[in-house]
Amino acid sequence: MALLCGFRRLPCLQRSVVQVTAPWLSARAAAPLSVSRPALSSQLAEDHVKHWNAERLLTVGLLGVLPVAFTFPSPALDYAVALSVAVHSHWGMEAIFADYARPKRVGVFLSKAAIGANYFMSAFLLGALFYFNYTDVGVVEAVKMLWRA
Amino acid sequence: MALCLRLASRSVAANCSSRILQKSLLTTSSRSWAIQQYSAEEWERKNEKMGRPLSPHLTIYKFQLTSMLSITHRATGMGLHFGLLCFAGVMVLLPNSYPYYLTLLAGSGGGKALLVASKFIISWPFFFHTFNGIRHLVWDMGKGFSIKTLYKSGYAVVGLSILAALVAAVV
Repeated sequence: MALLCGFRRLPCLQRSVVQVTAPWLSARAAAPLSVSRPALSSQLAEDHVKHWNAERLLTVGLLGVLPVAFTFPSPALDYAVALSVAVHSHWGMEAIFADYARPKRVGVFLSKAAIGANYFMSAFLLGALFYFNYTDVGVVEAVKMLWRA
Repeated sequence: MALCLRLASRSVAANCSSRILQKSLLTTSSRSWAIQQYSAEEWERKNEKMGRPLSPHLTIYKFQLTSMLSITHRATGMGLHFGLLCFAGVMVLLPNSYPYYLTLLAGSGGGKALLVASKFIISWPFFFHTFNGIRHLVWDMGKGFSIKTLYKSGYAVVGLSILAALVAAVV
């Protein structure tokens, strides 16, 4: 009867109930039941830190290289912009495919095929941007020309 | 809550005068402690086999600035990626150079309007993604997570991106 008038003390009460009446249960309750797992078997929790850091470093690099490339145009900076954009968008799309094209949802083959297709598209993007830089005016100049037209 | 009721019933049972009520209260409490643990796969397979429906999520959750800006960040990133992919792919396939096609499109009928429109359509996703990206980097440093700051920075990103795109479109 004393329990019903102490609702704010409920959480600590539940803890002591479990520990007093069923101590074997409190140990199990401490370990959470996991219903999720990494999208790819290669993406283990400890590996992702380096990738995460690389993503942020590249993002900051991209933020820096864009204004510099527009202020001091040069072929080297054109290629740097193309490389940074291609890798940044590759990692972004990889996250999208890993989030939505999950094995449970689309099957193991399609989930792996999506990641493979992403690698193909990013490689194509990098090659096409480099081709544009080499044979044509270059990415920075192209944007400037669109604005001058 | 259920645990408390069981404990209450146990303490009540200890002081209970009625023998029948005491017995039923004690046996119910001791029986209900059994908990079965499934692995993730067993749990999912069991639910599939039983044909249990999934609770509604996207269809019922309220649209909020936080979630809307998050998905827009993803969508603009995807849009910029595929836009660039199409542009670069087309430039690989087409025979002439970029200046040739630019003068062709700019000089065509309605060229001025086409230019302003294309400048806005290219600028807004770029500016939104860039400004919201900076907002993300600030979060990665561990700052700006209070609800007030989230909404302030969110509205700032939307406003600044529209402003920047409008300026870029008419310049």
